[in-house]
Amino acid sequence: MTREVKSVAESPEASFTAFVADRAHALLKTAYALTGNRHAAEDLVQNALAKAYARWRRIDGEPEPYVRRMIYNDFVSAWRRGRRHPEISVAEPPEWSGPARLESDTALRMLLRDALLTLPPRQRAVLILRYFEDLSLEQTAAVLSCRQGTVASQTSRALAKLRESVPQLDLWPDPIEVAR
Amino acid sequence: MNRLLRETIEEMTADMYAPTDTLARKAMTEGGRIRRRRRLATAATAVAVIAAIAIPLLFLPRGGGGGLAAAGPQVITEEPTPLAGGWLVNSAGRWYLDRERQKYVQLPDSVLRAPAGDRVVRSTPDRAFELTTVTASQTLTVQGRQFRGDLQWAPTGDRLVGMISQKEPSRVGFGIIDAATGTVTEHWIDTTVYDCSECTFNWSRDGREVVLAIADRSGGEAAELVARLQLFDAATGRPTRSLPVKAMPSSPFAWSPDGRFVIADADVLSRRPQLVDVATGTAKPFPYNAVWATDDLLLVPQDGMVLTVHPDGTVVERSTLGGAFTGEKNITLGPPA
Repeated sequence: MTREVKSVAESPEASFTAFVADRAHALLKTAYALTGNRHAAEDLVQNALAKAYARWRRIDGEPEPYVRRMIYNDFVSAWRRGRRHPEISVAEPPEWSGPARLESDTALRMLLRDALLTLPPRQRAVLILRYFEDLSLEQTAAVLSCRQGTVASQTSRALAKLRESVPQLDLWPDPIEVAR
Repeated sequence: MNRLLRETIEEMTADMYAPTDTLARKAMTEGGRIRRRRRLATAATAVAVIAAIAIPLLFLPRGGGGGLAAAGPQVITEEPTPLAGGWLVNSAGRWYLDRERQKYVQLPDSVLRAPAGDRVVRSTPDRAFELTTVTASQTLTVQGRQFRGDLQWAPTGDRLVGMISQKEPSRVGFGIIDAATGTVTEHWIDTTVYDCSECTFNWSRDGREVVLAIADRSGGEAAELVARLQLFDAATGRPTRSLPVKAMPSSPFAWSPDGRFVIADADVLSRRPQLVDVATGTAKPFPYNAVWATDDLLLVPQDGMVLTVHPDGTVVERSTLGGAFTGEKNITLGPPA
């Protein structure tokens, strides 16, 4: 997912522009998975990129992990400060349509998608990191600056909440591994 | 469920459109603002106090003055005027105190002068450090590609500390440079335990420990808040103490001589100096970013003068810098030999 895009010979502006051109869409996708809102995702990525550019010369090597870490931490921090985006806060769990209307995985994924956005940001971040970024417990803990035990417990709680919100998931096999 | 969850997230992210053409430009504009704010904060800190290590040479207009103006361009013969506790102005602009001769010497470029002794360090374009003295009597080059950010002189002037980092595996730590030999000793820290944001290191007043601000990330990246201070043995790298101080001191002399108090910034981006009780962490705003000259007097360089201040913030003396240093803002102070 990450590539070396900085070059010693390039100016900071050129290497930064190249990095944005190459990786911004992937970063936006991650941010969208976190926020569930395109404008919020753009803000999140733009802020992270601005902070990265402010230190561009000091980032030695691959800048993407650094930017991603800021995206995740800003997302969680904003929630801690009570600045959660109203458009992504769902006060009540989405209505369950009932098994009769679950005609395919697609319908279930729609329910799961809604349920994901009801999770607290830290739990949502943990799931995105582990199931979308495919990071290990240790790597996830490093990104979120927390202990592996915290990641494991947050993952467990998040999955439990998803099952509670989408009972149809109980029909699925349950190979949930909290610690990879 | 793993598969379903993965597919759900991937499906969701497919809805995200590509970035606009202006994203990079907007980020660079905002990034430039952030960088300027940081530079201002750093410069202000350095001028205001950092003093300890760096502040100005005080030439009081007593005794008829005129010494500086009459001096040649390379060496100023006027002796520095002692400040509280016998402190001296160590440098002012590009004038640096030659402590042995008690004269100020002009150097062709900016260097970081040690608070004690006569050593100075300058960085080179190829990311090395050149260690020399005010009189350029010895020169030593140290390769410093692993160092990030600024170096900080030990209060004794014999060592420097700086943040080091490495990738694959990603590690952060501090490097100690022996100023006499150029030897670099690396100490890596466990960032899962000692989580830092800026990861800048400084010294304790006795120079035996290195100080790191543990990050409080509740303010996000827009603020550099501190959860506590962690100290490490400068020689072994082992963690020694954790202090309930939610602010980062900018020099070893920000710590009071008796070790009870420290002047530190609660947020380096917004410059909020505080006087903090080291044992309890109790903090109150302090009007200056100052250094402790004695147990009950602090020094503050400010607009071409040095203020002597009580711990309650009251100014007890204003010492004006004259001659070549009139109005000089880049001043550093140092303790008596």
